This record gives sequence, structure tokens and C-alpha cells, in this order.
Amino acid sequence: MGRTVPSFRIAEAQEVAGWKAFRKALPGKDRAAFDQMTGAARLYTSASSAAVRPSRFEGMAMALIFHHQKLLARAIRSALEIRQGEGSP
Amino acid sequence: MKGWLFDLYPGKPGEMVVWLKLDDGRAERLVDHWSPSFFIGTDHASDLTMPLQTIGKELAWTRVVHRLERVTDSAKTEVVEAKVRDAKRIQQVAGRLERLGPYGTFRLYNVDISPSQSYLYEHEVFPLARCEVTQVGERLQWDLHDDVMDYEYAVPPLRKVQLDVIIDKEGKVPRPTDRVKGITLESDAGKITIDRGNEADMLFELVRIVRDADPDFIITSDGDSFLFPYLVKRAETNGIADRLTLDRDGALLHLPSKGGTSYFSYGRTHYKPSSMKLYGRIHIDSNTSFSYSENGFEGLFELSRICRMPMHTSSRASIGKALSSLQFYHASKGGLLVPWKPTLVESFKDRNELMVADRGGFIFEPKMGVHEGVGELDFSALYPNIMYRKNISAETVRCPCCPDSKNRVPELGWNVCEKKKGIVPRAIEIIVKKRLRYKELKNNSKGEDHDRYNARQAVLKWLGVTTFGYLGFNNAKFGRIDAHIAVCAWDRKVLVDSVRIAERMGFEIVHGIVDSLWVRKEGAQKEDYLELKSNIESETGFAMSFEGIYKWVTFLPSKVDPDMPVLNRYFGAYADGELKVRGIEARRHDTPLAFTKCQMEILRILAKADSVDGAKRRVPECVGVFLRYATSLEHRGIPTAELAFRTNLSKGPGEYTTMTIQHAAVKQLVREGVELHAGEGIRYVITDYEGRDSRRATPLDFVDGEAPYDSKRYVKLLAEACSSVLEPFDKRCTAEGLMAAYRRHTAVPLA
Repeated sequence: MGRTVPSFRIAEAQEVAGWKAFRKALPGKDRAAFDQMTGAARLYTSASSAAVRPSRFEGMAMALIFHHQKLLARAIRSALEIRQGEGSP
Repeated sequence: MKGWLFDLYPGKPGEMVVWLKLDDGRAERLVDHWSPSFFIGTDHASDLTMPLQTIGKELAWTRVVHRLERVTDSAKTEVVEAKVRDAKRIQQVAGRLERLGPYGTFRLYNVDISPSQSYLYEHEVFPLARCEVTQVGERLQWDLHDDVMDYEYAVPPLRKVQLDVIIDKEGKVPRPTDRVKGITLESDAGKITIDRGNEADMLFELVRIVRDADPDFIITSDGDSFLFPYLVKRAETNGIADRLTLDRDGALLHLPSKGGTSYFSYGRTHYKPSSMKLYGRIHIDSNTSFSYSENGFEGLFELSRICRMPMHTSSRASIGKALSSLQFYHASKGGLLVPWKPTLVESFKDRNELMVADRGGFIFEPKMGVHEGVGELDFSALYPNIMYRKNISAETVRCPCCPDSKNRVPELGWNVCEKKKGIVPRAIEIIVKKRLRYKELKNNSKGEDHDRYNARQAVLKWLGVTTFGYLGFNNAKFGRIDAHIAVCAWDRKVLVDSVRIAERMGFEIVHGIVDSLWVRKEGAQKEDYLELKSNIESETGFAMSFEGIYKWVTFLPSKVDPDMPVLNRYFGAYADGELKVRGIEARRHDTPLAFTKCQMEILRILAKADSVDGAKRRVPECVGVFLRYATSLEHRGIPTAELAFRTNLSKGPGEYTTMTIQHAAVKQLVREGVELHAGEGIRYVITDYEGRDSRRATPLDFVDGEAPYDSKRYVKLLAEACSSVLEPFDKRCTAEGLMAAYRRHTAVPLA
């Protein structure tokens, strides 16, 4: 008995490891961005696990899209605040 | 005859020896002509005729009875009950029978239940039960004047003695060839030291004192693995092995027939030595007894009573083994047989169902960093309560009799039986009810009463935790992974529902893990948290406890990836200054005591602060603590014993290939003739971390006075331990930052 399906935390680490060749082919400074991206996916591990998708990449991809959506919204909000600030006397 | 059932074990063939502790303090030996039965199921009764004749001499009698063969059966079927003549041979007899037919022809039950436990189940009695016993012919008749559900039960006055031996060591570690220098016996009456005469005289004196003092318990440290075998060897050397007896039954102390066992559990290798049993008197080895070392005598008594296991057995049993005994009792009461080799398999699941099902409890990633005003709420015994109240058991989840049951497993939709209560909920009822009551009693009492109730509730907590694990354990007699999965599914629902309630009430979730929630709301007071607790309880149906509001709490990042939160690594100070510490060095068993002391001293300073800013202001004072310990290390002002690391060997001594620190210590121990097994614990001090040979570490037993420990390495490790608790408050307090501060402090370059 015991676990047949690995926990999403482990599966996610395996998926990241599976992209090792991709990471290796990136220029040095891009590798940091790549690590940042995979790290961002791990911020939503519980939600990805709850989604129960047959492909572990799907859970990670949704986490990244969602994270980018949040960043985008924050950037838009900041831009609007800056624009409002510029417009004020 | 009235008294307390103290000990029992099989005697001569057909006899069960029972010791009764009488009101006047004496222990009375009684004999009941009884032996246990095992049960045989087969598809064709005729298959059994010849095999039963073949093993006939081993059996007192056989008869056809009706029992539930499998936990999933709804009706009893015919099986043969075979009463053995000699309780000690029950497994050999069953094994012989099994081999007399093609594999699977005979289904064997109740074979590996200890005869003493079978006796207790059958007679509805338990260790330390107050009872009246009458001898009727060759049998004992039991009249129970006690109830295992009692919270306030009388335990007879019991005599306890701590036994130790002073060894005249010839080498660095004690060996069986070393002579006895002295023997000490310590009890409430005082300490007796036997050190006169030759070795044989001292052993005779030990036997005499034990016989005259007649203690109920002999407590040793390492009695199973060393002390008792050592005494046997010394008695043999002196030619007096035929007179070395320390029990009440006059049996000679002898070496166990088989060696100990190494086993792997939860990612660690463990070693369990064979037990050295006394008869009519209980030998407790504090090094091998989980229940005694964790919860003392009160924990041991409660465990033995509830699980109906003789105290010798329960003191050495894993909690899982104790739990199994509780389940066997309930099985025996309900006419359910206990399979020798369980064959219950999980229900078929397709890929999608398996992915939904095969998950653990829910976790909300912690928000890393230091937080103020966070409240913690914990569900009380959530998993045991889920099993008990939702009727989760191997035979009830996806039962064939209730396809339309209203009791359904969340997310999975599996039906749970509504017609009968499962074996697990039946067994766990006493654990859930008694623990709840003991916690109430503990909270309303002080001193000895408080400690007694606390020990009892603590041992029940372990039983509850283990019940869940055993649902998914492949060697459990009544386990099935579907039931394990169902509990996790319920947990996820309860935790996610609780989070929704908290958010509805304006709380922010800081962390959530399985059955605990950390939440925060600007300006929230105790009453607000209590209202949240009340709402969660009424909507989920499960009780919670409000642990308190933290002045500050820190959720730490991973040591490998500083951007990643770790689920169970945090520390914080409640409003009353009490600290809660999880997952850091001070909580680890392998951390040297000096590191634990230093880390806790720092935490106590931080706990005086009422806010995060206040804690930050106290960082310099904390750094001062680090510097004091580090300087002390450099000047060898810390006792070597406080610098010892403790580890369990992950493999046998011959299996190491590289000279790790652990291997260095092992190599020296083996060189001195110490017999080590995978799973055994060793303690060592780092003596030359940068070295390449076995001098890298020194076993603690070899340290004579002050060892030349590697102070540079220890200062570095101390800096790492201190940075775990200081860096969240001051980014400069990394291990490197603390090392730099130390270099400035000493003005002597370390490297």
C-alpha cells in the first residue's frame, strides 16, 4: 500500500529537473530568470495539487499563468497610480 | 481473592500463569488451565481431515464454530477452532498445518496474537484491573471490579527499583569480559551499592536483595541490549548461571534465543534488541520503551489497560502494536477473526480516480517571514474524530451493502456503510472519549494530578495518530488504503471549509497544515478568534482548540532554496511569553545539547519582546549569546557530552564506503569490539572535520575527560543554528554574518 501517486511537491521538483537540459542551454543570466519562474510555480503548489491534472506540467503552467496575471494586474495598478500622480496638480 | 491483575504469561503446556497483586502488597501466583485457539477456514471441510489428524498430538481439541472470517463479511461462516496444548507452540503448529495443503487451501486466523493477550480478551480483563479471582477446579473464575473506561482508577502501591552495574572496563567501552565492580539498586527507600567480595558474591547479593525487597518493577537503561546479557555472561564466567534469577517465578536469567532486528520506518533505520523478560516482575528498559520514556508509568498503565497487553509487552511495543491489540480485542468481542496473513486488497481505481484519491491532507503554503498578531487554531484529534464519527474503516468504505448511503467521502463520492460500525471506529471510540476527558481533567488540575492526566492523554494521542497510519499500513490486519484515502479526503474538506469561514469573517490565512490554521486580522482580539473557532466548529462539526495569539511568529524558508517556504519549520512567542518551536535545531534529537541550549536562550530573549520591532531591537543581545557560546567553544569551556551528535546508523558497519563523520565513529567502535547493527544509535563528537581518516570523529564513550573536539567546526555549526532564529529579524545575521561578528569579537582569524 502507501502512496502510488507522488505528492505534487515531489512531482513538481521532478518536472523542473526534467527541464535541466533547457536550463543548461540558456545564457547565464537567463538561468536565474528560469529559476525564478519555476520558483513562482511552487508558490501555488497546494492549488496545483488540488486541481488534480494528469500532467504535472499543466498544474505548473496554470500556476505560472495565474502568477503572471497577478503581476500584470499589479503592474497595471502601479502604472495607473503613476499616471494619476502625474496628472494631479 | 481480591487484587489487581499484575502479570501473566504461558507456563507449562496448558497453563497460563497469572500474578495478582494483593491489597497487602504481596504478589500471588495463580495458574489457570487454559491454552489459546487458532481458527482454520477452508472451502472444503474434507480437506482438513488428514492435516488435523497429522497435527493431532499438538491439539487439545477441535470443533466447528461460526465466526466472521473477513472484516468485510456480513455473516458468520463455519470455521474450525483448534485449541493447542502448548500456547508457546501455536505459530509452529499453525505453520505445520499450512504446509500440509496446497498454498491457500487453509485460511488461518488468530495465530499471531500473543497467548497472554488472547487470555485477556477472552476473560474480559486487563493489566492492573481490580478483580476478584476464584479457583474453580483447574480454572480461574474472574469477577471484574473495574472498568477500562474509568478515568479515576486505583493502582496498587508498586515497588520500583532502578538497577545499574559499575563495570571495571579494560578497554574504552564495556565488554562482557570486563568484571563487575559494583551493582547499584535505587528505589524510594534509598540507594544500595553492592561492592564487597568477589564478582560471584556481588551477583549472589543482587539475587538476595531483589528476592527480599521483592520489587514489582526493575528499571534498567539498556537492560535488553547490554546490562542483563552482561550479567548472564558474568554469571556464566563465575559458574553461577544456574543461580542467577531476578524474577518472582524462579526462572533463570538467560540470553534471548534470537538476536535483535533492524527495521526501516518513516525514512529511518531503527534497531530493536530482543527483550529480556522477567516473570511475575516487570523489567522496563528505559532505552527501548517508548511509552515509559515518553509518558512514564502513568502512560504505560493506561496503554496496558486500554490495549489489554501485559506490561512487559506494552512497555516495549510500538504504538502500532499496542493499537493492533486494541483492534484484536474488539474483533474477538465481535466474533471477527484476525487473519494471520492479511489479504484485503484495495478497490480498483482508474487513473483519474487514483489521482484524485491518492493525496494527503491539505496544506496552505506559509507566508514566509515574521508576523505579528497571528492566532493559531488546531482541530482536536481531527483524524481520530473523522474515523470515529464518519465510520471510516477498511470494511465500511465502499461497502457493498449501502450503495446509496448518505455518508459519502468528499471529492470521491465513495459510499460509507450506514448499517454497521467499523472495527476501527469501534476500537478508536475509547481513545477519542478518554483523551477528551483526560484533557479536561488536566486543564482543571495541578501538580501530580495534572501530570497524571497529561501522561494518560499523551499516550492516547499517539494511539490516535497511529490508527490513521495503520489504515494504510500493508502489514496491518484491518487496514485498507481506501479508508486511509477517505480520512485524507475528509481532512481536505474540513480544512478548506474552515479557510472559507475564516476569510468570510475577514481573516487572512498565514499558514494551514492538515489540522492547524494560523490566521490574522487587523486588530483582532481573543474574542474574535473564539468566534471564528465557534463558527468553524458549528459548520464543520469538528471541535477545535484556540492555542493563542502570537506576539510574533516566524515561518522559515527552506535551507536549500531561500525563496521557498517550509511547511513545518517555525517558531513564535504567544502573548504570555510561551514559546512554540517546530522543525528547527532545538527540536531535533540529533542536535548537540549545547546548540539547543544556545538557540533556546536566544529564543527566550526574543520572546520577551511584544512586537517584531521589539524583537529586532533585542538582536544585539542575542548575538551576544552566540558570541558567548562560540568563545566558550573556542576555549573548550563546554563539556564534551554537550557537543555530542546522536544518529541512528542507516546501514550495517561493513556497508560504509566513504569516510563520513558517522563512519569514522563507527569504525572506532567496531575496532574496539562493539557489535553494531543498522538502526542502532551512536553518539559522537567531531574531532577533526577536515581530516580524512577515522579520527574525524570520536565516539562519546571513548571520550575520557575533555576530548580535543574540532572547535572551528563547532563554532561554524553553532553560527548556522543561531542564524536560523536570528536571520528572520536581522538580515545581517546569516551564518557568515555571525562568523564575521565572531572574528571581530575575538580579533583572531579562525581560518
